[in-house]
Amino acid sequence: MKSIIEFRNIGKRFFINSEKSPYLNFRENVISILKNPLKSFRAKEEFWALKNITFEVMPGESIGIIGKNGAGKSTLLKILSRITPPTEGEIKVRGRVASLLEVGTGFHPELTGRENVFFNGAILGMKRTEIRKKFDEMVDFAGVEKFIDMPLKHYSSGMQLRLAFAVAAFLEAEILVVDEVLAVGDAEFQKKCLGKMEDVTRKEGRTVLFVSHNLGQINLLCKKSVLLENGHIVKEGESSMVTNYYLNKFYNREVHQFSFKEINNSEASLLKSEILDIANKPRQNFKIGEKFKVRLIIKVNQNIPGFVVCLGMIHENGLPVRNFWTTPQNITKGIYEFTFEETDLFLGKGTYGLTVGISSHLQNIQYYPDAGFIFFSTENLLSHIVNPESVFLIANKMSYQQNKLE
Amino acid sequence: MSFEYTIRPRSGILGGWKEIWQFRELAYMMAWREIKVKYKQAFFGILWAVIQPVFMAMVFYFLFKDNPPVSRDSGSYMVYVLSGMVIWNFFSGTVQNSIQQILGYSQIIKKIYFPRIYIPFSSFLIAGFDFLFGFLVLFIFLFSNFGFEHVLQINWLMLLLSIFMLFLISNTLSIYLSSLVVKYRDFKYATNFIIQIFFFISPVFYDGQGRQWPFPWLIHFFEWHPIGIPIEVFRASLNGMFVWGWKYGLFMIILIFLFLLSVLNFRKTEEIIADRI
Repeated sequence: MKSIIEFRNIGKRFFINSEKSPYLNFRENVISILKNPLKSFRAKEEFWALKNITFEVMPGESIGIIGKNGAGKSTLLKILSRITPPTEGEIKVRGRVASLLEVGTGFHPELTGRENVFFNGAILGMKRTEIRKKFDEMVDFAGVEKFIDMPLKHYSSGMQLRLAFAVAAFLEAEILVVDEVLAVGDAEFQKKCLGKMEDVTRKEGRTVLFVSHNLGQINLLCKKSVLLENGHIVKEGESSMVTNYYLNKFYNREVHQFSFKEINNSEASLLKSEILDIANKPRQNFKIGEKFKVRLIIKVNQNIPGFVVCLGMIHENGLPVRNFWTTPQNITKGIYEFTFEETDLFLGKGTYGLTVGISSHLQNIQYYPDAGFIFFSTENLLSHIVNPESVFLIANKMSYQQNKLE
Repeated sequence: MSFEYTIRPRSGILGGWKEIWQFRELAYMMAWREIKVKYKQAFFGILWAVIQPVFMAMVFYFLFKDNPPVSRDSGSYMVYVLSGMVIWNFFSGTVQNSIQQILGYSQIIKKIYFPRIYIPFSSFLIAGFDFLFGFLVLFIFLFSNFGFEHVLQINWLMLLLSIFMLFLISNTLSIYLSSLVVKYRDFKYATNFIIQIFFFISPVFYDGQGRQWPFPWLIHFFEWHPIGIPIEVFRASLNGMFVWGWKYGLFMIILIFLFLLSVLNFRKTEEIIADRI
């Protein structure tokens, strides 16, 4: 099969001229040339945002692009979507590229939802007849039927995001570029978008390039990932491997501890989550069948009746595997530690995202969809595990009996 | 698959002319969006497109009606001013819109690829929308004052020629300005100011003949006035008195040449707009 995108040696150079103001002033330029005609030809400090980027994407694949801020992720997508040219190298593209926009780009607050959909579609390269055909589907997906003829300024930011996502997701493009847009929106909508993006790749066979800081989403959505650092590819391959590598490399240790900012005015919030092994040593990588603990530090700001903490685990393929609720209690103000331990269950190979919910009488107080990760690998297998390479998520042995009846 | 292209360092990110053609609906959509936004929250709505040129024309009419600064065979001074005003607004509207548009679109430019040339092109359509309403008033005025016979005299073909001339001249200018304003915001302020001055040395409310100009070249300037010629053709075709001359042919050739040059130049600078804006 032919690849759908081929990055060949892509490089992008920027010049940094620190003395000049970010956007140029005609007068300053004229003066500086008059003052010192040679100076303007002097070499400026250069900076390579991307260098030697070479990789291929196959049709129907979804590729995650990860890296720290300033690693070159967005620049790479900008070059792919032809917003800015590369300085060297070339990209062969065998399909239409559609970029999913940030909330509000291209939307006009005075225009109605309907008008904005048509305009946004047009600027993304759709014909009016094409938009008309898909209009109902888009609106239905965004769930804004009732408001479609209302000016956009009356929409909530979530509704705007849903509409923006819907327009891009229903584009007839073979390649969908998504740059950290899913960070906003509520959990339910995030799930819906992720579901749509899975549909896009699995059922419709479209290719998705997905930039995110949320490694959980990357693991959920993308089979393969590319890790960028200072404009270079440092790792590419299976997402769980790449994200694991990223966490280990950039934090110079295993990330077994995740800290959270206290949420202002919240009755309670999660401060820290930590993954420990049976000896209470912080760890993140486990063998299948190894026991592990999750320790949560929760700050309670006032007395809460019916207080419950819920720990959930979601497999990298999106399947919710397990959750556990503490017994409701009336809790008083203070900082608490909760330690959860998996006693009998062995989880199968893969990356598991932890979710933490804090609630009172079933009323949600805070929900943390990415409270941490645990990796289970098949290295150095333990003997009481069955079928280690299996895709099944529970690796315990079952007991069985065999009787000869006849 | 029909969509296959290569992204290269220099002039490799632009689609061909074919792609510009594929995006053609965008010109209409961009204009439509701007017009909707412009008139949506206004109580008088589209009436504003009429009010502005009509009131301006009336001001000049009352200032100069006793002794119109035009030659005697120019006909009704009101028609003279109104037709001048309508064409002038078309021109200045296109140029000012395109600067506003390219700055207004800066967020979108940084996020999406589309043929940027539609920014100046759509500005022409936006100004053209106002022109249609201005022209409607002019037409009604002609009809009610000079009757049906006068309206029959209108040389529609030449009227279209004057609009085409205007298309070439205002787009050439706005294409150059929009690639300049991306780099230097100075051009935003300079343009508004220069257009205002330019208005007073254009044959909108006077014909510039028989005057003591401080600079003698201004007389020749009025003969080859880039906006003056379309206005002249427009007025003559309204009166049904248009006479073709070699001057117009030469003028058209120069305009087409400059227009093509500006489009080619824009295509070259188009790809780095997102880095500069």
